[in-house]
Formats: sequence, C-alpha cells, structure tokens
Amino acid sequence: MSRRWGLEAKIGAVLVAAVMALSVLSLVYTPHPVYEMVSGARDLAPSLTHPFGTDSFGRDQLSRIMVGGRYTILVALVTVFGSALIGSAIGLTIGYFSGALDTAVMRLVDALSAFPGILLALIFVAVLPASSLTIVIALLILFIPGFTRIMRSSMLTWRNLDFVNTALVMGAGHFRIITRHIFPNLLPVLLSALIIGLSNAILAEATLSFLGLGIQPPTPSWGRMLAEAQSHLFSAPWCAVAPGLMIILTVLGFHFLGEGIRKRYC
Amino acid sequence: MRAPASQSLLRVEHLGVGLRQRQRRQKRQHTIRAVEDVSLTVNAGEIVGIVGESGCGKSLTALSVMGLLPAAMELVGGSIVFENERLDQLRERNLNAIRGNRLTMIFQEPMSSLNPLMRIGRQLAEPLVLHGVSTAGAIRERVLEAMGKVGLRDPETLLRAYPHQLSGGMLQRVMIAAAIVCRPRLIIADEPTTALDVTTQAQILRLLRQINQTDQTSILFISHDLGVINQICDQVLVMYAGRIVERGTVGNVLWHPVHEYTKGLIKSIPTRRSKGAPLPSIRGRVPALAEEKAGCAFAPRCPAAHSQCFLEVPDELALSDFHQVNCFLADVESEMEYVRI
Repeated sequence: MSRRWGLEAKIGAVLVAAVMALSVLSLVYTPHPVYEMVSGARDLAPSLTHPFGTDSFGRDQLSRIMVGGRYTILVALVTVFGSALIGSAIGLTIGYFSGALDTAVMRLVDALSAFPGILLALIFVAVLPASSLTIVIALLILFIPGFTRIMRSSMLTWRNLDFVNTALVMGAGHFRIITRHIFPNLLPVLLSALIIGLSNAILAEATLSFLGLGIQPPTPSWGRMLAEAQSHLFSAPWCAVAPGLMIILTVLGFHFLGEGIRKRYC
Repeated sequence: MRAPASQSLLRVEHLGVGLRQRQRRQKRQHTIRAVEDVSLTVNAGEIVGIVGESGCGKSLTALSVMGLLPAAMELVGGSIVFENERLDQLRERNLNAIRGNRLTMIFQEPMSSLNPLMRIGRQLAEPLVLHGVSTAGAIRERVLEAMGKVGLRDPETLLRAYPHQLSGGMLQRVMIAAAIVCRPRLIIADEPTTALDVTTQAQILRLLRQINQTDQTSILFISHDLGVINQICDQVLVMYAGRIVERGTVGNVLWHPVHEYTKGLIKSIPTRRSKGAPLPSIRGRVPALAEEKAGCAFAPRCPAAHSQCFLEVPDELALSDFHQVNCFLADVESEMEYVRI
C-alpha cells in the first residue's frame, strides 16, 4: 500500500486512454471508410494518407484498427464485467457460508481451471452455435473461475473479522452483510483483478480471432488482421505490425494499470 | 440490592454448548462440552456479571444467547428465553428482528469491531435502518441522542469520520452508542473494557452504569476482572470449566466467597498490603476441553478436595436466596451469618 499513484499506473492509464479514445473516435470518424476496398491501393506501405498502410484488399489499416479496437474492447469489457459479476456472486456466497457447497463449487472451479484456458474456449466455441455471442459466452465461462477464486479467498479473510459480528449483532441479515458490509472492503482486490482480466480478455479474444473462431469477417478485429497479415508477412509487413502493436500496447496498458492499482490499494 | 422477584428479561436454563461433531458415529460417544448446565437469569434493570478464567465458557454463553456461536460449536441442550421468546428456536429472520433492537452486544476490541470503510455516522445509523426507522431526520435525531448519551462531543465531525481516525476509548463509546441507539432492553458486554487503558476503562464502566440507571437497560457483563465486576454488577456468576460454580449478589460472592475457586481468584488479586510477598495463585491449570472430567472439575486444583469431589458433580446448594454454590465443602450453617450483613 502506497500513498501515491506509481509510474506504472500513470503509463497504464495513458496507454489505455489512448486506445480507448481511438476506438471511441471510430464511432464518428475514420480516416477512410472501413469496409471500402480500393483495388488500386493494395498493399501500400505506410504513408501520410495511410499511416499504417493498406492490406491486400486495399483497405486502410488505421481505420480497420480503430474499428477493430472497438469490437475487441467491447468483447473484453462485456466478458470481464460479466464474469466478474457472476464470479463474485458465487465466490462471495460460497466463501461466506463455506461448508459442503463451498467444497463442491471449488472442485468444479478447479476442474475448469485444470484445462488450458484456450482449449476450454475452443471447446465452447466448437460446441455452441457460431454467432458473435459465442465468443463472449466462451470467454465468460473461461474467466468466471478466476473471479470466483479471488473473491472467495478474500471473503474468507474478511468474514471472520469482528465487525461482521457487530453487523450481526445489529440485526443485519447475511445478504446485507455480504453486500453492504464486506463487499466494499473487497473492491480494491476486485478492481485490480478486473483490469488485469481485461488485458487477458483482449489477448484471449485476439487469439480466438487469430484462429478464425472469434469475430467473423468482414468485421475487423486485431487477431483476425494478424492472421490475414501472416500470409504476406514479407511483402507487406506493416499489415502485421499495426494490429500487433495495438494488442501489445493495450495489454501492456491494462496490465500496468492493474498492477498500479494493486500496489496502491492492496 | 434489587428484589429478585422483578420480571426476568433473560432466562437461560441448563444451557449446553458442545463441539460440533463431524460424524454421526461419534455422537454416541461423549460430546465435548465447552459449556454445561448453565442457568442464569437477568432481571429488568439489573447488571449481571459472569467471571472466570480464559476458556471457562463465559463468552460462549454470551454468544449462544446472541445466536452467534462459532461454526465449530453448537447448542446441545437447554433453553434461552428473552422476553418470552425462545431465542434458541427462533429462525434467523426473527432473531434479526430482535438483535440490535431489543437485545444487543458490545465486543472486546473496539478497533476491529467497526467496519473500516464505513463512516461512523452510517455505522450508528445501521441498527435504526435495520429496525424500521427510515426517515433521514428521525435517524439523525436518534443517532445524535445516542452520541450525547455516551458523551461523544462534536458529533458533526464524528459522523463523517472513519474508525481509524478515532482512539480506542472513543471507538468503544461509538460501539456503545450503536448498541443503545435502538434503546435495547438488554446489552451483553463481552469484556468491553479489557482492550482499553485503565482511565478509559473507568470512564466506560461509569458510562455503562449510567445507561443502566437512566434507561433501565439490563446488562450481562462478562469479565475476568473481579475488580470491574465488583464496581458495576448487582449479581455475579463465577464460571469454571464450562460450569457455574458460585452465584449470588456481588456482596455475597465476592466478599464472602464459599467455593475454593472463587476464594482463589480473590486471593490472587494483588493488593497494596501484599506488597513484596509472592502473589498467591491457584495451582494447576484449567482442564482442556477434551479432558475427561469426572466429579467436580475444580477438584484437581482444590486445596480442600476430598474423595467425593473426584467422583460426583456437586449440585447447587442454596446458602440463601442471594447466594448459591456448587461445592460439597460448602456448609449451609456457615453462610447464615453473612446474609444478614
């Protein structure tokens, strides 16, 4: 616990803000229309009109990155907040009441975490009908165990503190004690887990899209752009650099921010 | 001394608290009891003390009244009646309607007993919110009234403060304010002064006494400090190894103890007169929970124990209406002279 925001948090905040700003900007403005394919402008190297060059269909890379960021971040936000909500609810409940239910749920969580994450997501993507929602659901299930575990262990350390007894003595019910008395104390832990979760979700989404299982074309996504750039990596390397750079900067940004928050509060 | 005929507020009868058994099979064998056959009555407006060494079951007795036994413990018998309601049979929801409202508790550690993230104002308002006072104005009025009663000055600043900004003595006042804000009939105080320094301790005791006198609030006061019990209580119960060994009015029990354990406790209080001399102590130690106890639990440490003490558990012997003792060595005749004092 330190009193000031560290350099880490500041760099993270700037990076995240920049990526977010680019994505939000794409709602109202992109340098070129995103889906427009210009046959005369294929595989152009970066220039002033196309800062990140164009791809093999003649689409402007910067515009595609901006719009792609929108989808990537949206998917990341929805999955992480969704899984945080569900994971927290489960984790807080089993941590507070413990007992047989706790053991049962934790073994299930262990089983889920035993699979490599990406394999698990692949299973869900394969089993569920193909739609844009599929990736959200797959990532949601992928991230629930982590939040469940974090919130349960924090609950275990907090629920035996004296002030919980004070609340009981005042006549507060269990639901109120969990949500009003204990949960606010766990917010710093949840917040840093959320932010680091965001960077993981962006990576996972990029991976799935790279494998062709994520966001479907023509909607641009960073992972997919990387996959498409792979085939002409030597003729048009800028096609891989642009989305790769975006992924790195975003993940790094969220990671720094999460670490910074953790150091500040936990 | 108040007449024992006054209406009883809390009546605990033959209370037993035991270690929760993991397996059914073990239940047939002996259950490990931490509290056994404890009966006590708290009348309206009375302060009743429970005194004993660490681990003798004082706190467990109090916690079972509040329905707050730790997960490893369970009630294994007896009844707890508060204002004509069987607390031990109430459902959680109905118990919550009583807790914090008519029955409340103060803990030992004021520092950790308040939520670090809640402002004092909200923590004081919590019991009111939970028990149906809903308008902000009414809540504020009651909170300020309670703060005034416990002598917290500058309430406006305090309401916005967080617990870490206050001293231990102030926090204990806040705890007491939170306890009395709903005007309870009974406060259970579990060593409320143990964590405080001596001067603050005296102030808190005076405050509790004052609340008892002005509002006729009964207090069940738990302490290991005989001096504190002597200052504040009307009645006192002495517990040893989960059982009550001696009970009665403070004057009878503390000034004319009959049970060897009570005598030992009183002898081991350091006094000015005993300066320089080695402090008397009770030899031996409190038996562990799991130890097989035959006969009087105190017999192995008792200087006057005879063969019967190791074989049978003594029944309660009424030396007078105001003094009962569980000891084979007690003699009814010896007591008679004290009662009239």
